[in-house]
Amino acid sequence: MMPARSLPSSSLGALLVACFLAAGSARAADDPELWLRRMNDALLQQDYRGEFSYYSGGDLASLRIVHASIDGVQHERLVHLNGHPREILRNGDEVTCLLEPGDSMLEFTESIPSGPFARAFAHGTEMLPAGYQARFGARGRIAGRSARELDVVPNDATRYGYRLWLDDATGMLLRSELIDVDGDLLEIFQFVHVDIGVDIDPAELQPRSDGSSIRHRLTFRADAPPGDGDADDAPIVHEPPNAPAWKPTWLPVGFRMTAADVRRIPESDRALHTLRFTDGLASFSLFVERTWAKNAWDQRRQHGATSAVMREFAVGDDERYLVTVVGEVPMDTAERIVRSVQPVP
Amino acid sequence: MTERLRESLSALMDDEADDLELGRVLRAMDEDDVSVRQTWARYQMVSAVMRGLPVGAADSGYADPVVHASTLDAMDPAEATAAQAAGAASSGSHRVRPWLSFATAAGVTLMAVVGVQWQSDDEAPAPARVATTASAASTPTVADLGGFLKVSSPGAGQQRVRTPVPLRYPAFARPPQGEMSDARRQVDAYMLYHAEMSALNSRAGMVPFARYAAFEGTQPVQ
Repeated sequence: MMPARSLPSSSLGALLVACFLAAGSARAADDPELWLRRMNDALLQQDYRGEFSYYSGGDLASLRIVHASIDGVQHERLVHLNGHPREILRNGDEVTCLLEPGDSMLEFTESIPSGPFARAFAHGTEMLPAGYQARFGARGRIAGRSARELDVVPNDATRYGYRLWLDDATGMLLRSELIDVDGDLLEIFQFVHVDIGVDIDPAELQPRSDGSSIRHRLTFRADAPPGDGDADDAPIVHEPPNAPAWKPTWLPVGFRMTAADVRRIPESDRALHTLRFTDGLASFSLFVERTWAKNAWDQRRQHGATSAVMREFAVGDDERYLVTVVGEVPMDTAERIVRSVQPVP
Repeated sequence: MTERLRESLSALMDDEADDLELGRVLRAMDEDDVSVRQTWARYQMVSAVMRGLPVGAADSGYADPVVHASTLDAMDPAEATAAQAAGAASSGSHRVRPWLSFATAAGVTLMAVVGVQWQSDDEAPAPARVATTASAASTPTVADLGGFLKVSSPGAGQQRVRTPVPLRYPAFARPPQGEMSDARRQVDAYMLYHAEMSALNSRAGMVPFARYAAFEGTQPVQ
């Protein structure tokens, strides 16, 4: 309390303002929304380099990351340090994956469209999506840095929960856990070491590849508005002329469609319908394609945080379709979404 | 449900239950078979999903532990050893036998009694065998089993039926990708596609990139 002495009014005013600000930031210090925004800003705007562990599906990987924001454009290099040598480079909106010949990932790239991809609609501006509550946990220490735990708890069992540890000094995400409905850890990300706010030499963002690397580029469609997509190149032969579009008739609360696309599967004339959904935190992809397979392909598979459910459905007398949901949602949620998919004439 | 009972159920599923544990499970079934059955079904489902096995979402449910135990009882000593069912195959409880007798007398395979639906699959987890009944007069219909279990020609000699017990291989012994079935390969391709789109569209953060960078596909189980 100020002594009752006459002070110059400007000083008093400044002091009062300072008091208000201090009180405001004390409130803000415990505001999850603010901490999430701070985390997002750190990830996008800070320059940093570090190594982190990534646990998923019983496997533990080590990765190195270098990130720089140059003239507002994101530049990032991620190096996979175990197993297959892979580097992922981001320059703005373009992502390139460098693979070595013989990498198992190459087998799968043949079976999926190569893009360009429909850009997802920007979801809401709120940092904490509607389907979740956030509450702080204890203080912690990660990668030698003092951190604040923030739990992001889903409102229902149709989605996963998260525990985040955010750097006290910068708000940077230091550790994250993805937790299933039974409380089991499905995925862990954790920095072992990170330098934040350092000068990044542009050479650190260059890949260490020799000429034998295979480049797998991911880009957005430049010409179409967000969320729009149409079949590319020649007409796709094996889709009936009035092939329906598709949509799920059930979604967990808060999920919205952000992109839709029809694309040719490479080396074939099969059409693949792709729809993307997110609740602001988790996302899933819905794939529908016509099938002529003799055996039933129905299956459920899981790896770490990602569930996949594939089911075959008959439409009319002679058309069969494979409907697949892949995403960071519980298996039962994926199953329910798959079974709710209907053709839209 | 006590922790000890849960452990016994788990051991039974892994074919590692001894007589004591088997007895515990049977007594629990006596008292409250519904919750035991439910827990058992969950363990089965989780186990199948974790191993990437296709499992039909059959509402009829899964084998209850008593029937599973009875299949162990039906095995000859060599098989019992192979399945690491130490002790469980030697005697079991006298209550287990009626199940086996029923199955045999009715000329019905234990698979049908069990009600497990394994989806038709080009690559059956080995070793799965199909029983003829002891009388060998009739063979089970392949249609009922979805073509999953391979049936030998009638009269080929006595074989045993058992619920498929997935064998676990250490990571370094995983088969090469070339042996995966088309269906599994397609799901893995979709998982990669999803990882790519998520990485490209992610607002911020390394986790979607890490998921993409560490992508290995899901492994088939043998």
